[in-house]
Amino acid sequence: MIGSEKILHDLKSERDGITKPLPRILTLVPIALFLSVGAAVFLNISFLIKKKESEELSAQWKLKAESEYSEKAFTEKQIDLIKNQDRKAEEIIKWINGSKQIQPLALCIARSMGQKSSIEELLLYRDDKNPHQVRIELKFINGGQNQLDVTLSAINSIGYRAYSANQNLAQGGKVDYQATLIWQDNHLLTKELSFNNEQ
Amino acid sequence: MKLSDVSKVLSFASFRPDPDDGSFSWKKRFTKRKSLLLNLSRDGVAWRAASREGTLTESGFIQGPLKDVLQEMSDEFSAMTDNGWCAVSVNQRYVITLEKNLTRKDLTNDVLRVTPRLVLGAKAERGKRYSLAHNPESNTSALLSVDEEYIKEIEGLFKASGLKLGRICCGVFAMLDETLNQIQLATKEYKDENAKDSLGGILSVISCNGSVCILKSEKEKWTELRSRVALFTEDDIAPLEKILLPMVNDLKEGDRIVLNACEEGSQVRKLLRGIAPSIKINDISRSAAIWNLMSKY
Repeated sequence: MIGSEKILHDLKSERDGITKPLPRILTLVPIALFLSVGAAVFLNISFLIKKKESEELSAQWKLKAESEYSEKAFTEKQIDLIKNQDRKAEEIIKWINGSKQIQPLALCIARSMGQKSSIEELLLYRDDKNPHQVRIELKFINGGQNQLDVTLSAINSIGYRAYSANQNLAQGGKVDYQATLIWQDNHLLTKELSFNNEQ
Repeated sequence: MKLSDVSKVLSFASFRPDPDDGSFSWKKRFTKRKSLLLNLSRDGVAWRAASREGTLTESGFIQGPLKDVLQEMSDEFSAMTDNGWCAVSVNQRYVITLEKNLTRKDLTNDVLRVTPRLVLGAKAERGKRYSLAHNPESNTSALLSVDEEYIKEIEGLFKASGLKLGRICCGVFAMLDETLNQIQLATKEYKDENAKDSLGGILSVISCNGSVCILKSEKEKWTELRSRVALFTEDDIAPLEKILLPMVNDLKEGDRIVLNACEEGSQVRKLLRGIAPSIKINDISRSAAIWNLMSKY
């Protein structure tokens, strides 16, 4: 019958096992299931993508850290080299500062040499325990005793006096002289002598 | 719960009506399913396929008895359907009569089929299948009765051919029902517009594949009904004229004829125009009317 429901009449024999459709509201169940499955798939994919990104980022950071470590090691090596250079420079400075006192001595010895005489060997030793004393070993050729006297008087003029001297004169004016030089303050001596004379 | 039940829920099949559930319209039952509509007459079988979208597609007609047609065409018919579902319209071995004082209780077609005596009382006969169309304005009803044996024969033939029957209806009765509905709606509109004026007499002429049903009504009361099976052909329309003439002659001025016909509507209209030149004819015929009814409702 075509009424409000609009269904045609039916003359067919009675049907068995007809199940009525489920209420429309229950379509929410499969819809919710499909949505949740879709969301799970989406979240899994996004999680995998993020994980891959983080792994890549971690690898990048590891590479960066390794390069930073190697740079740090290189820099430390450079610093050590600079420190070594610095230490050597300080030693040189110390040596220069330490040798300042004997520089005038070496200079006056060199200047005392006559035109024909020439220094073959000059060694000046200073002992740490007794820095006022300087051990001298001088070898020169030509000049003989005269040249040695001139040199010793030059040494005396700058305030050193020779003790325990040992000299060896060879033929040809060759001289081998060894002694211990002790520094004396000439000005103090002059002052003492002047004071005694005044008295 | 079976796995098939779960898959039906997930595919939303559980929320659609069963193809064999007669309490739903054909359109709802066969949404996204192909089906085949057949019209059985004495000459042969006319068929038309309905697509998954519900539109009518291929059509054809084969002469011969149903048994031979099904034997010949079952594979082709099956290919035009999803799972072999068909709807059949019978145009023979039925009778439409006008009955009075039938119960108007809210009884479904199932009750009418299983226990027709509850509805029809003493008028119910054994070995018949019935359907009813009530006149809401009076105590009259149009009663369709079809031989149960014929219905079972059709069901058996379809089953033997591997086809499934989703519905068996009577094309002329379905068109009569539709015509009465439209007249009822038009009468309501007329009453709303013209207050107390009476619509006058209406002669409803329903024609389908040579079968005809003529219902006469006076002041919304059904007074006379004539139904004939395989009464006329396109070549021989005289039997129709013979049955129509006395009823048309009874029509008064202001009465009208409502025509609802299948493909042959133009010839019936021509005949009516010839025998009732002064009577207003409302032609509500549509192309493929029976197929549209079967595929929609």
